[in-house]
Amino acid sequence: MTLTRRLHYWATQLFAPNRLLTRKYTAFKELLRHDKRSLELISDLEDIRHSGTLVDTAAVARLTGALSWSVGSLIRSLSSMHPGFYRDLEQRFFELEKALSATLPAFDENRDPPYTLSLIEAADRPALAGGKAHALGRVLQATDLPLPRGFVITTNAFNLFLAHNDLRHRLDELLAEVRFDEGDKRLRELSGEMTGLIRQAEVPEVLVDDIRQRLAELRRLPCSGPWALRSSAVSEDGENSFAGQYTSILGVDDEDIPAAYMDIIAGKYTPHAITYRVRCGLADQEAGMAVILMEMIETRFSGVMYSRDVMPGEPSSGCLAVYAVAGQGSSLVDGTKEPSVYRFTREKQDRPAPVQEDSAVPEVNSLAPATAAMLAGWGMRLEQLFGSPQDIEWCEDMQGSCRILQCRPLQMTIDDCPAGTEAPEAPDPSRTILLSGGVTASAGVGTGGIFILQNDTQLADVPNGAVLVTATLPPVLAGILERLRAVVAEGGSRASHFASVARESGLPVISGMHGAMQKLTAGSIVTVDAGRNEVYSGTPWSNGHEKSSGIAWNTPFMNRLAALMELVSPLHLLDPASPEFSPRYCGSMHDLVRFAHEKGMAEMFSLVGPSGREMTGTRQLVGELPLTMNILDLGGGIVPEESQKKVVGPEQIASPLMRACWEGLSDPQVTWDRGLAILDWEQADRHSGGIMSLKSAALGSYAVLARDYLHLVLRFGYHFAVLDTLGGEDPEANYIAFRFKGGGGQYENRLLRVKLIERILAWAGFTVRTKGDLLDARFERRPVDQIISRLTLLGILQGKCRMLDMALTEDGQIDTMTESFKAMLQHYVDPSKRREQ
Amino acid sequence: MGLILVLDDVLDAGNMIRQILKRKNHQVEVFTEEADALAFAGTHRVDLAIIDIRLKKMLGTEVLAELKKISPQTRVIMLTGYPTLETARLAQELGAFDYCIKPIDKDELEEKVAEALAWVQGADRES
Repeated sequence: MTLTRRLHYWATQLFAPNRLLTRKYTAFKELLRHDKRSLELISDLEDIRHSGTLVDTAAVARLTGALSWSVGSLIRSLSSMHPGFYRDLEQRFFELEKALSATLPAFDENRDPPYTLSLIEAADRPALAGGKAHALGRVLQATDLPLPRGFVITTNAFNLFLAHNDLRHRLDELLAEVRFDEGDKRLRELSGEMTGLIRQAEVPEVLVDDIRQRLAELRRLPCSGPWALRSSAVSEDGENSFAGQYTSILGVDDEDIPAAYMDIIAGKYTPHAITYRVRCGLADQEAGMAVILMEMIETRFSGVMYSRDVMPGEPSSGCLAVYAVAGQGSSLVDGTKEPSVYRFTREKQDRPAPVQEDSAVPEVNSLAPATAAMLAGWGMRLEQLFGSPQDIEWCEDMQGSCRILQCRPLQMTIDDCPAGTEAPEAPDPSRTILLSGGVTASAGVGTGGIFILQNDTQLADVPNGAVLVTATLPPVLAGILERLRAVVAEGGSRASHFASVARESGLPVISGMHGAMQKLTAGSIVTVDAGRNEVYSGTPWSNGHEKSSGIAWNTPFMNRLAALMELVSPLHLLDPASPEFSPRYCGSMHDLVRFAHEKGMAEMFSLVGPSGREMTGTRQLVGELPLTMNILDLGGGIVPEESQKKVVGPEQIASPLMRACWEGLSDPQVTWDRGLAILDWEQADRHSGGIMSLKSAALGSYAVLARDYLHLVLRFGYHFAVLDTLGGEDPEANYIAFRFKGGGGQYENRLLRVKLIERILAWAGFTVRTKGDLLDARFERRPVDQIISRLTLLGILQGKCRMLDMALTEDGQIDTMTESFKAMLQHYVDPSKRREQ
Repeated sequence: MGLILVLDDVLDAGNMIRQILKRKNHQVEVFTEEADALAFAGTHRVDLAIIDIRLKKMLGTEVLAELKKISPQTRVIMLTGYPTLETARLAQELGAFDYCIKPIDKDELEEKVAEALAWVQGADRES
């Protein structure tokens, strides 16, 4: 240990009087950080789910891994605030995490032999052989149609290749980065990295040996190179054609086979192949790559054949068509050569007849009509074999013998894979925009009558079909979701719990729309366009703005994601006061986050036990007020120059939160009786007076403070108030939790006081609950200036209400007093109003 | 200020982290070899280790387990380009403090390092 470190250690021991509080506070700050990150990750996943943004499955798996890490850390932070107390929550997390991992595809990355198959074996092993080889295998198995000779390098060989070169992880890493909406520069870079990794890899020796043996068998036929290598991916030539997405390499000599093999594998990671696969909603592992190695045929003619050529509007539509070019067929599919076309009617299954207008005198050097007719007969047989119209590649060699090169289901449309998201319909250009700005928390458009929510107690009054205008986005809004058409919030963010719920149900929400509470009029009919982020009067241009139909919802990717999101996104835990607000009822990661955050705040609320023991050895705050106030600075709460002093004055407080409270307590409108020590008389009574020091922390008020945090306990005679507040740069994390209880007056009078405080706090935007003479109020997710103004308000209210339980004797007084308090305090609720002195 | 060990199989990646953290006045030691890093941790009081999940010979989580044996007080941040449920769970069980996803965001790294060191100092107070 260096000298500096030792000094630091020694100084910490000496000057940090209370480790427990410091540790709890540090854990709380960490909890808030993980809470924020967890909610961001949940919204990232929700974005993918609900906007239909194209991403690779690897991106979802990566986000899920990160989410699990963040939620785990969040729960660990909570546990360290109260060791041993949250075991059931940890347990629930492990259960949910396990369920989550079950929704991620458990890919069969089998690396066992066989690494090669004969074509006929491929007929029964589609998962090993891939789509193209499987189809050829079936042709070979069920017909006597001629095919080139060759064999298949299996998907297990591909898995072995990836594992041997340790590529899976690196590919996933890069695939997770791929975005399709940011231009293709990044996609090309990532693709370049992936194909580079593959081309620099090496083909495992065991696979090279296996290929060598197969080549030796072929030579005995005899059949020798050069060879053609063709991709045969799983899912290729099936429901999704992958037409032209993958690579074929022709004219490969024996010694170049490994390099050509890797080129075919690399073809899986070209920009267009990635895009196509992701659009089809397939994970990279779901399209494992087998490779067919075939003899090269020296061709006189080659081409394709559609067993039912659908051409809308054409009279010959529905015929069988043979397209032929001289030489290699690649010039046909890439469009460089104009083919001769031979059409056949399909009336007679076994003998297709030439369609008249196409059977004119054939051109010189074109496929003999008899050959075309023979091919047409093959086409009908293949259609019968596979049970659907087929797209067949064929060739004729120099000796005039034809072969089938490839056979796959005919795609009826050019591209039946999903296109991108369509742009939403444009609104009426002549609309009257009432307000614009803010951030889309949940995209969509909704129309309805405005309801301005002043505080959460009005939730029950929100009518059906309302456009809710609110200061912030508390989770309780989820409870009235069905009644809402849209939400406009002055605060809040897309990462809030409610925004997440809204996205899930398609409710449009704009957050951070300043001035909405003032500028929008209750009852007026407006349309909220979350996306353009405008509120305009009246209804939109067209009725019904449905979810864009361009998104393919029913792909393996979307189905997996839906199952995954069930365990991530829904928020079931809405009401912290409900008995169901417990780990047992946490059904999603979102629930866990909500629960842990709520409990973290509750832990801070009970920061100091009833004995005040944790506060021993702290300093005293001495000012004008007759308060005994112990303070403990957790960092940044007191100006640094004073950090060594045992007694500090209010002017040395650096925490704006504490300053705000103190300002309220010292407000000229609050009168203090200087003859009485303000402390906990009930406790003092219990300890026969005088034995205990009147400066004891157990009797006096105290504050635990940091730059952006304050925990304040005020003991005024026979009642007490606890205030726990965070006021930092992130409005979403900010809150005031306030509790008030007790009093020296009659129980009925105490209830009257609580009722008065309840009314004023509800008016000031707090959510208030009362039970007997106990009052709990929350003010959450607000910018720091609002937190500060409410703290001053609470300070004044505390000072003014101190003795009210004696003065308030009848219900009738409450109305008048509420009004006078509102007049006195309105400056703090609405800064635009001048303060009335 | 703290003593920070960085272990990444790519030297450039480690050096980049050193550049970021040196600006915050931390003492940063960069390693590419697992054995060298563990030997250093055995002979110095390392406050924080930043370990890539993917290394030359061992898995990052294996190094984490070894490190926790020889230097239990060291906080560990794991680096990963691709956090999976499995590595997240394993690393947390082994006592990793946090993780950072590559490519590294400078602010995020600084924040997490500050947080981890605050913990180390908090633990100091209690020891």
